[in-house]
Amino acid sequence: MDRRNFIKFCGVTTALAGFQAGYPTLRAAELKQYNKVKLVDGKGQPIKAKNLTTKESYVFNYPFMSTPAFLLNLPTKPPGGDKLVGKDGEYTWEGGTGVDGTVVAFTAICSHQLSYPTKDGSPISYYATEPSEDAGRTGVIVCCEHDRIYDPAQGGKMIATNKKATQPMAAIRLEYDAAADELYATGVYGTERFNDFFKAYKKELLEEYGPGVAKQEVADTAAVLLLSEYSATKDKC
Amino acid sequence: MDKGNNEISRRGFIKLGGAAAATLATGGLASSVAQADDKKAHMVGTGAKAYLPKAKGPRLVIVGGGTSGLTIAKYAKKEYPKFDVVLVEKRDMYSSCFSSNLWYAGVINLEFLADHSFLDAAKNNNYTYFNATCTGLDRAARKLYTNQGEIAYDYLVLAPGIGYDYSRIGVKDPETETALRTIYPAGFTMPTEHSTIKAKVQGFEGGVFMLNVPGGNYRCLPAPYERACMIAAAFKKNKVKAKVLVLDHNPDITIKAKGFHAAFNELYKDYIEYKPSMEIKSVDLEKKTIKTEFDTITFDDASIYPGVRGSKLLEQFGIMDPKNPQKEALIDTLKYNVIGDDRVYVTGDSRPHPYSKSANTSNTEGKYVAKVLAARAQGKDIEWYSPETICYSLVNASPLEGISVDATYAYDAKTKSFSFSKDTKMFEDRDASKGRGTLSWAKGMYRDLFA
Ligand SMILES: Cc1cc2nc3c(=O)[nH]c(=O)nc-3n(C[C@H](O)[C@H](O)[C@H](O)COP(=O)(O)OP(=O)(O)OC[C@H]3O[C@@H](n4cnc5c(N)ncnc54)[C@H](O)[C@@H]3O)c2cc1C
Ligand code: FES
Repeated sequence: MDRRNFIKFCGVTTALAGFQAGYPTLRAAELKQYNKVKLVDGKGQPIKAKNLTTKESYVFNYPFMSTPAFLLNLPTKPPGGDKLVGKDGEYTWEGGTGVDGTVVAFTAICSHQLSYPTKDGSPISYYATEPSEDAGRTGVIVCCEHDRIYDPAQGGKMIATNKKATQPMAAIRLEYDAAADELYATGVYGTERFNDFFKAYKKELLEEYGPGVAKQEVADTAAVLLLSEYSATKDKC
Repeated sequence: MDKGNNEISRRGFIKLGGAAAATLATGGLASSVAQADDKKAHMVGTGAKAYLPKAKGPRLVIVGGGTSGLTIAKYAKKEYPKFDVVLVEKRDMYSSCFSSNLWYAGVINLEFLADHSFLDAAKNNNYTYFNATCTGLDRAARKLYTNQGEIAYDYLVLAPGIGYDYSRIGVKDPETETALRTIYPAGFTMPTEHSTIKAKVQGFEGGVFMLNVPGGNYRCLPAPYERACMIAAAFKKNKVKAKVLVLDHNPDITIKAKGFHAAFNELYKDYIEYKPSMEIKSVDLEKKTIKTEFDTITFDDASIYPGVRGSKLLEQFGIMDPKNPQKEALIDTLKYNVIGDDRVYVTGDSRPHPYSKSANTSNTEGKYVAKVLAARAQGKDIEWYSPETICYSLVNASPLEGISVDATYAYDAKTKSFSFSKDTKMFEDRDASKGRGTLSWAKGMYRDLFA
C-alpha cells in the first residue's frame, strides 16, 4: 500500500469533470487512489445506480480482495461537506453521488476494532428499515461488537454516545457515469486501517483466501451483493 | 573444598574459576554443590540484574500479562514509541479466564482460550516479554524484584489481577483453604482451575453440582450465572440426572437479571435451582456441606467461589488501601498512580473502582492508562474518560444464544465516586445474534491483545 501515491483531492477534481462528484469544493483530506473498478452485479453486468434499493445495504470488496465496503442508496440526498476528523487530520466528506446524489460508500471494516462482514456473518450493518436498538432509529450503520453507531448521511461519522469516540468510517470515493448510470470506485479517503486489518486477521484471511490473495488489489470490476447474500447471518443491535 | 573452584559434571571434572562459578551458583546443579558446605539462605533472583537488553528509552515495566497488562504494553508503546516496555508475566502459556465458561459446554475448545502467544504479542507490538515472577518492589530506588533478577524502571504498572479471600466464606485455616483450592476450585484465576472444573462437569454422573455467587465486587458479575447455564447445558446434553444449585450471596442476580432468570426458567427448568440471599458461612469438606445463616446444604460436587480481593502483591508492597474491604490498591482513581508516587500505577482487577471486573473494562481502561503514561512521560496530562464494560454472556449452548450489557461510568467530582452512566444498556432478550457476539467479542479481544 505504501507504494501507492497520495493524491490531493484538489488535484483530481479537474480530472473528474464529466462525472458528478457530489460535493465539488474542499479539501485538505487525502484520497488514496486505488484501482478504478466498475461496480457490477453477481453476473458481471454493470449495476445501474437508479436500480439500487434503499431498503437494504450492498457489499463489495474494495480496494483489496478481502476488504468489504458498504454501498448504500440513502432515502434522501445527504448534504455532504461534513468536516470530519480522522487520524491524519481533518477532511471533508464529499456527499452522495448517482442521479439523486443518494449513493454513498464506506468501508465496512469498523474503525473501532475492525469487525467486518464475513461469509459466515456480519456484526456490522446498515439499518435501512428496521430501527437499531442501540441507536433507536433507522439510517445508521451499527457495529454490534462494541456498539459504535455511524451515520452514513454525515460521512460515516460516529454518533456521539458516552463511549470513547472512534474515527469515522473511511469513505470510498465513487465516480458516477451519468450517461450510462454506472458507478466506479476509485479510492479511499478518511482514515483507512487496511494494514491493521491485515495484521489482525492474518490467520483468518489466509484460511479464507489462501496465501497472498487477501492483500491483492481488486482490478477492473467489483461484484456488488446484498449484505444478505454476502453474509449468512446479520447481527442486530 | 576451594570455594573458587567448584567441581561439577558427572564425567570429567570441570574446574570453574570465580566469575563462572558465581553465575552458575544462582541456580541448578552448581548451587546444590555450593550449598553442601554453605548453609546460608540463598535467594533466586536477588542481587543480580535481570538479563535484559539495555533500555533504549524511559523504561516502562508492567507486571501481569493478563487483559490489563497486555493492553497497556501494546498501547503505551503505540502512544509513546520512546518507551522501552518490559512485560513481566509469571505464566509461560496464556489462557484466558474470559470465555472459559463456554469450554464446559463444549462450545469452544482449549485452543480457543489458550492458542495465543506472549511472544507474538511482544514481537507484533515491539515490547519485551519477560517470563518471571515479580517478588518485590523498592519504590525509593525504582527497582522491581523478580525471580529472574532486578529491573530498574522509570514507570511501573502493576496489573496482577485478583486474589481469593476465603475468610469471607468462613474459611480461616490453611488446611481447609488449600483443600478447597484443590478440590473445589473457583475457576476465576488460573487456567488449571478451569481444567479441573471441565473434567468435573464432563464426568459428573448425577446429583447436586453446587456453584455460588459471592458478595462484594467479585470478578465478572455475570460469569457465575453464565457458568450455571453452561454447566446445565452440558448436563442436559449428557442426559445426566443432575442439578446445578446456584447459591447467591446477593438478594437477586446481580446483572442482566431478567435475561438470566428467563434462561434458568425457560431453558434449564429441570437443571438449575437458583437460591438468592445465601451467604456461605462455613464449609464442611468431610460432609460435603455448606452452612448459610439458616440452612445446611449438601452437594455432590462443586466449584466454590470465595470472596475476591486485590492481588496479595499490593498488600506486600504496601500499596493496598487498608480501608478497602476487598484489599484493593490505594491509587488516584482518575490517573491510577499510587497516591504520592507518579511512577507506579495499579490497573485491572486490582483497582479499587466499583467498575465491573471484566476483560472489556480492563482492556478499555488499559488504553486510557497507556495515554496517561505517554502524556506523563512527556510532562503532560490528559482528561479522564470512562472505560467500557461490554459483556456478553452465553446462556444457550445449542443453538447459541446470548445476552449482553453495555455500560460506561460517570464520575461525580463532588463525591469523588463513580456510577453507571445513563447510557448503560442491558440487552436481555437472548438471541442468536448475541450468541455469535459472545464468540466474536472474545476473538476481537484476543486480536486486540496479541496481534
Ligand atoms: C470464568 C470467567 C469468566 C469471565 N467472563 C468474562 C466475560 O464474559 N467478559 C469479560 O469482559 N470479562 C470476563 N471475565 C473477567 C476477565 O477475565 C478479567 O476481569 C480480566 O482478565 C482482568 O484483567 P487483569 O489484567 O486485571 O487480570 P488477569 O487477566 O487475571 O491478569 C493478571 C496477570 O498477572 C499475572 N501475575 C500475577 N501476579 C504476578 C506476579 N507476581 N508476577 C508476574 N505476573 C503476575 C497473572 O499470571 C496474570 O497473567 C471472566 C473471568 C472469568 C474467570
Ligand atoms: S469493532 Fe466495531 S464497535 Fe468495536
